[in-house]
Amino acid sequence: MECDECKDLLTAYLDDELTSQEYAMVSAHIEICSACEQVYAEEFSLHQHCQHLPRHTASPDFIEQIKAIPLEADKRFVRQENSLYWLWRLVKNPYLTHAFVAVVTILAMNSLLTSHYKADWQQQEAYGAHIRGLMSSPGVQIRSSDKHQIGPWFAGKLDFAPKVQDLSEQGFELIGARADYMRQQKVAVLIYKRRRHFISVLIVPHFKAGINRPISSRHNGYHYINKQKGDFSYSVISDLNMEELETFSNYL
Amino acid sequence: MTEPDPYEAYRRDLIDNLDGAMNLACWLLRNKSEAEDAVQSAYVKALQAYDSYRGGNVRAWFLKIVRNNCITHIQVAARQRKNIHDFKELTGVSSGYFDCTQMKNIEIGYDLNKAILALSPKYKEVIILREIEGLTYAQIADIIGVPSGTVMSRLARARAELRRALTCKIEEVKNGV
Repeated sequence: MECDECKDLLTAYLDDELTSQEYAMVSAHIEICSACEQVYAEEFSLHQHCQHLPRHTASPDFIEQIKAIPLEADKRFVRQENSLYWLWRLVKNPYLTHAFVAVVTILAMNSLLTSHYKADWQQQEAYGAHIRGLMSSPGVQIRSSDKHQIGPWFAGKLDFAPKVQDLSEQGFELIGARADYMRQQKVAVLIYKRRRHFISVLIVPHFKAGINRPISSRHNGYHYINKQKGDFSYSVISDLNMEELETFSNYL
Repeated sequence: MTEPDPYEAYRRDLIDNLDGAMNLACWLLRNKSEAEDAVQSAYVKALQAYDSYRGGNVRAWFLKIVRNNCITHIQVAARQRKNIHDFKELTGVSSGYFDCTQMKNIEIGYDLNKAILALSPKYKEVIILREIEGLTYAQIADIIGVPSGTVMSRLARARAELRRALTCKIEEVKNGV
């Protein structure tokens, strides 16, 4: 081994980072080369002095300060907080969970009851309107089978323009119409006739009806169907059988 | 018996290695409060980087983050101080902070301190990591992001500079001057 090669390896020799073969070669060279031995002695002396260098340590206050860093410093928790972590915290806290369930239940019950209440009163009002109309046989303010005559007739009487259809070709003769008033809102009532059965069609704007699902029912021999179409809610009531009444309501 | 939470174990390992982190930061930055800032910032980064931690030596992993923080700090400070003399001062010779009274020979200890602080950061860091922290070449190579051979050559160069600086002082002490 040459001196230059030995000097290159002396640092690693000192740090015990050589292979056993390299270590043996450097050891053998130092034995016979006083110059390299001198360099090694200096390196070793320096290494010994370095062992007494001060090692700076973290103060107890600093360690406590580090320990007090909240877990939120961890990106994983921050990321979760942005998405589902709030839900996890909610689930973990029994009080919040109970409160959350209670609020959701109240809202659901309220929505359900409101919907049922609105459906119920609309049914009752529809029955009433139909019976009232029949009692003044057949309860029309304009008697006509012309939809172009009835449509404009509503202008000024209602705050909406109901769609009037002539269904005589389908076997449902248009008799006439009237404007009614139920539960603080104006209602368009179209009267049709099928054989000897009168059919009342009550039309209100959809947002005022507050019902989002079709309803059909029977009451005292009358049949009732409610359907939503376009911007309007249609309540159809008659003593006609349910099958034909459904056929009729499908034409609306 | 429940399995220990690996994240908590990782966090504990980081805290157990705060001394080594502070030592490296103090030597590189030469200012205790700046060193604490660098270590605290590195600790938070290490927590945030848990997902990318692939196991292995937590100490080397933590020191790598601390070292990068310190180097960034030095570079930013150097850019802010456009005067070259200021940069020399930052990485250079004077030190009123280090306590050498625990060393066997106070005079040599003082000069060794001075000589280490006079080294440029790339030589200083390998000396600190090897001589005080006792890390292997492979661990140092991982921390500073260079091959092991480069660690060895930097160490050889750093030691040569320290030897030159100390030779006179050692001779003086030997001769009782």
